[in-house]
Amino acid sequence: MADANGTLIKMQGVKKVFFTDEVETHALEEIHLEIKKGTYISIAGPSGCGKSTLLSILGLLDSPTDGNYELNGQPVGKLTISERTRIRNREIGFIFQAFNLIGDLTVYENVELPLTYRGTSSSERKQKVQNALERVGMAHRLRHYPSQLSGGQQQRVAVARALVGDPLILMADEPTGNLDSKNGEAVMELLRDLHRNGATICMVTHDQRYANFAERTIHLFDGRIVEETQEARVGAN
Amino acid sequence: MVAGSLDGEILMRAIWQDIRFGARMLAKHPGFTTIAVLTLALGIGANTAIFSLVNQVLLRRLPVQNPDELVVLRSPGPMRGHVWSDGDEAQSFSYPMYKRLRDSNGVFSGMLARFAIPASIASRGQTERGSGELVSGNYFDVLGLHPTLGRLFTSDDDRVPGAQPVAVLSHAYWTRRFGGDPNVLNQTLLVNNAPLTIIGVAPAGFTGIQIGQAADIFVPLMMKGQMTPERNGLEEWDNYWLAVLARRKPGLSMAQAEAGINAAYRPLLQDQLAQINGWDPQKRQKFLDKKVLLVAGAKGRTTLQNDSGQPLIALFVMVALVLLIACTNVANLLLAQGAARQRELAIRAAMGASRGRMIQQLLAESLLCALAGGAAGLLIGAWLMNLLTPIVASNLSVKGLSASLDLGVLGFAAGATLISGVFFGLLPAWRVTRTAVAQTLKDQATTTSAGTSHVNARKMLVAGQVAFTLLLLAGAFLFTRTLWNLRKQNLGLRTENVVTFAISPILNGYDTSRSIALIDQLRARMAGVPGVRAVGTSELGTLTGSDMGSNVTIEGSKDLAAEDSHINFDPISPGYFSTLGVPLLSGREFNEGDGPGKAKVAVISEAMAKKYFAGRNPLGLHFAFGAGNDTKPNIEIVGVVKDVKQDHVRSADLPYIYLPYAQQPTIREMTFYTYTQPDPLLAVSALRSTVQELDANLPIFGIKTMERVVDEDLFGERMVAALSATFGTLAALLAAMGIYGVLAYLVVQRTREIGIRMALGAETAHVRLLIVKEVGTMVLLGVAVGLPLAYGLARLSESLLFGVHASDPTVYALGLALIAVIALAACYIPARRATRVDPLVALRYE
Repeated sequence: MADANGTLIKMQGVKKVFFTDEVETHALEEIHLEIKKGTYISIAGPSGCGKSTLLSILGLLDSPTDGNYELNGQPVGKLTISERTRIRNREIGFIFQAFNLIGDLTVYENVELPLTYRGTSSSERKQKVQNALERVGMAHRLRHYPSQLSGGQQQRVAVARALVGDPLILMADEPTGNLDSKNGEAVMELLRDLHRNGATICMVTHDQRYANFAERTIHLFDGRIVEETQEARVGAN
Repeated sequence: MVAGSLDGEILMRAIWQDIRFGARMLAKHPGFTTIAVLTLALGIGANTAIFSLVNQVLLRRLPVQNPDELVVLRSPGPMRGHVWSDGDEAQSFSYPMYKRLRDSNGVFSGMLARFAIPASIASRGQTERGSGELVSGNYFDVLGLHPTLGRLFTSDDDRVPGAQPVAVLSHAYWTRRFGGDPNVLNQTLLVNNAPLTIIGVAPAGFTGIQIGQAADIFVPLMMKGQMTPERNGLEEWDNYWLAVLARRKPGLSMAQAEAGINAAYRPLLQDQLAQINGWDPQKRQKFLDKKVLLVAGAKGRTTLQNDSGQPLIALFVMVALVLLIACTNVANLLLAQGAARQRELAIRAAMGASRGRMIQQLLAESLLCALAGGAAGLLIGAWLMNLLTPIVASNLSVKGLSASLDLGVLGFAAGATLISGVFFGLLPAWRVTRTAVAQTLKDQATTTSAGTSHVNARKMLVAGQVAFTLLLLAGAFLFTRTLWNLRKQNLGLRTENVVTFAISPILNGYDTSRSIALIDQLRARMAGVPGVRAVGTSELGTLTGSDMGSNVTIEGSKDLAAEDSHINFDPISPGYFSTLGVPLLSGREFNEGDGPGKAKVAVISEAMAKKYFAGRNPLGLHFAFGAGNDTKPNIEIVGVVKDVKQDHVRSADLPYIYLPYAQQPTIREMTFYTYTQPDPLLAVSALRSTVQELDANLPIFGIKTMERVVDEDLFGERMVAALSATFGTLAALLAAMGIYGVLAYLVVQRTREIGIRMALGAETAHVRLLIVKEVGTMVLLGVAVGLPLAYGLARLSESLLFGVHASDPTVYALGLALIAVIALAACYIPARRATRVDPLVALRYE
């Protein structure tokens, strides 16, 4: 549950250092960030600036080297692997650049996956999967395998998978990176629609056009937030 | 023509190139090569060793001229008189019948007869127990054999009974006993107390017409009376003792030969029937309707083959399955390697290599690997043969077995190597060359996790391994259980601290009264040997498979059915039961008063008492050997003892009669049992000296403990249980390797998928379950195929089982449990590895 101010994510002084042999790579430095519920935020910046690292920490796939991170009012720094997994499953929806659908599972089974790990009953799963796929316009492809779909369709399925568990926040990492411009636009429209319906979205992109879809953009450079645009500018066409 | 030779040259160059490249690839992957070669070596080695036994026992043909022309004669049906048999009564003929069949048929170019005898052979101041064959004068001629030295028998040696005191030595005996001395001719041997002049040496490699028996000397049939002094019976129509083989005339089929010999047989049966009294018309007709049946004789008499065939075939099937599992493992390794080489193959295809050409290249690698495995397998096989052959030979008393790598064994090893190479190489080569070139070469970013359909072939192979392993484990459990049940059998006698040995005084010229006196003396002296607590003897060795029986007439039991009136018996000494710890249920043991000329007495077994004297006290009642109105029961039953496993550990408790040896008309040989403490083996030299003090020329044979006697009786079961357990264990290890290999590969292939799942909320248990599901699918599929197969094979092997049935659920439950343990053990490391996948790292694959 968000706090009284509606803050869903609060980061203070977050650092991330990678240690490789004798080399220290500072991926993130002094990140202070608050995201309120219902916000559509984009994290922009050039390649290698730390966008994906920040998203990984936000999505509990990685841990900061230093600093505090509270998700939905709960400090997550000292959570066990199991607790982090459970939070990922219940409170975060992931959309990846490479879609990351599982090749051997049908569209239905791919979308169903987070609910399966949550222990949701079969009938409830069926209903939620159906709803999620309808929201992204893919309900007619239930029995298809990812390899039978276009890139745009695959990403729609990935969005449905992210939505299906009603997460607190959607984390989208370059969701248009593997799509042509037409399909990229379509996915961005889809995210905007979701946001209009109340979803909190945190999106990483290096493409300014797509960053502009968000109502708030933070710009990263060399692991630091160097600029923040508070007003979202709608439309990139 | 020129174009043709050019094509051939190009092909040869291509093959040579493939071989060189293949050798390089094998050297480049030493881990793969070592595992593959070792796996194959174990499979091929074990197969080679078992094949060597199968070849020598079941497949070997007689080393004679045109063995396919030989036939063995059988004549099943009623017989009257004395029948000697070593497994198939129908193969026994009387000498008069043989002689007239030989002389009156027009379908055989020759017909030989032979009878195996124990031989006490004295030469150059030393007497030893050996084996001999009484053979017809045409024996060597019919077999088409020529002497190494001197001459062989001719029809002249067949003329006058008792007047042919000559002998032919087997080549092996000549070499072993006389060091291949050419001056052995015209020397005299004392065989069964009859002087025989050595006239020749048989050809090398020839040991007789029965695989597993090896005669030291051959003696003319005419010497029957001298060689078997307890019974001559040469001219008796009702003495069935001779094995008869014949050579078909060229061009005659089996059917034609059979028709021809039966035309001659019928009048001979009529002549014999005229001498038989007391049979009803129906039985007389049955006798007249007897036919001579011809059996292929290229392998000679097949007594050993019939006895050992099923266990050997069962072992051979099991060891073949081990090789199949080994090949499957290597195929699996090759598939994994092939997946890693798809880019190389795609480049080759892009350069213009046809699929056939690439398969040729991959097969060259497989065959090189198989060759290395075959060569190592041959070494392992030779080692196993050296280990197994003497054990088999001594425990089964099979002679002529060799542990050498003959051409047949080498050919088998080469064939197994070649077939293995093609078997494990072809499927992977076929699959990995199916790759779409453009797709493989296109360095595209994938947007879905790798599918696992390409692993299906490997999963199927593992399922096959599981199926075969289940077969072997079920077999191992069934045979081990059989051995366990046999070991737990109540033998009815003591086996601990008992030493046994035998003598055959009759073969050294002793008549019955001298034999009895000798045995009495030996018993008395042995009782005084330090450590000996009790001494007993029996004419037939207990648990050696020997038996002796007769029809009986029992006081107060009239009209016994024919199958009920035949009872086995054994002449024994006073103290036999107490020496072997056989409980006396009522009456008394024999004593020294039960001697010749005294009232005839007998002790019967509990089973006999129950069957023939139900509701009566058998003590004081009488029976007699023989049947008919003239037979008066004249042997008094003086005791009843608990049942003893007389013939074999497997035998049922059948009615049995014990007689005092001192009341027997002849004594062929006598087995002694001494109960000694503390260590029975300490008394052996003293016992041997005791015999030698009384007769230094009397050979002692079969010195062993009773525990060893039991072990020898159970040798077949022990061998099958031990080897099936070994093969089962080997199969289980190979299957575990196969499962591990596939799962480890799958975890690598599915790292990204596992990462995605973990990112979406999969916990450790979910990931572990994912891997267990994979192994579960393979195991279930294997079990679904393997279980009915295991049951089917168990049904086929039911005659080898004891106290356990092919349908025993515990056997299959144990097999399944072990498969489950193997599978879980094999998936432990891959599952652990899977749960340690870092989703962040896994997702960076994108």
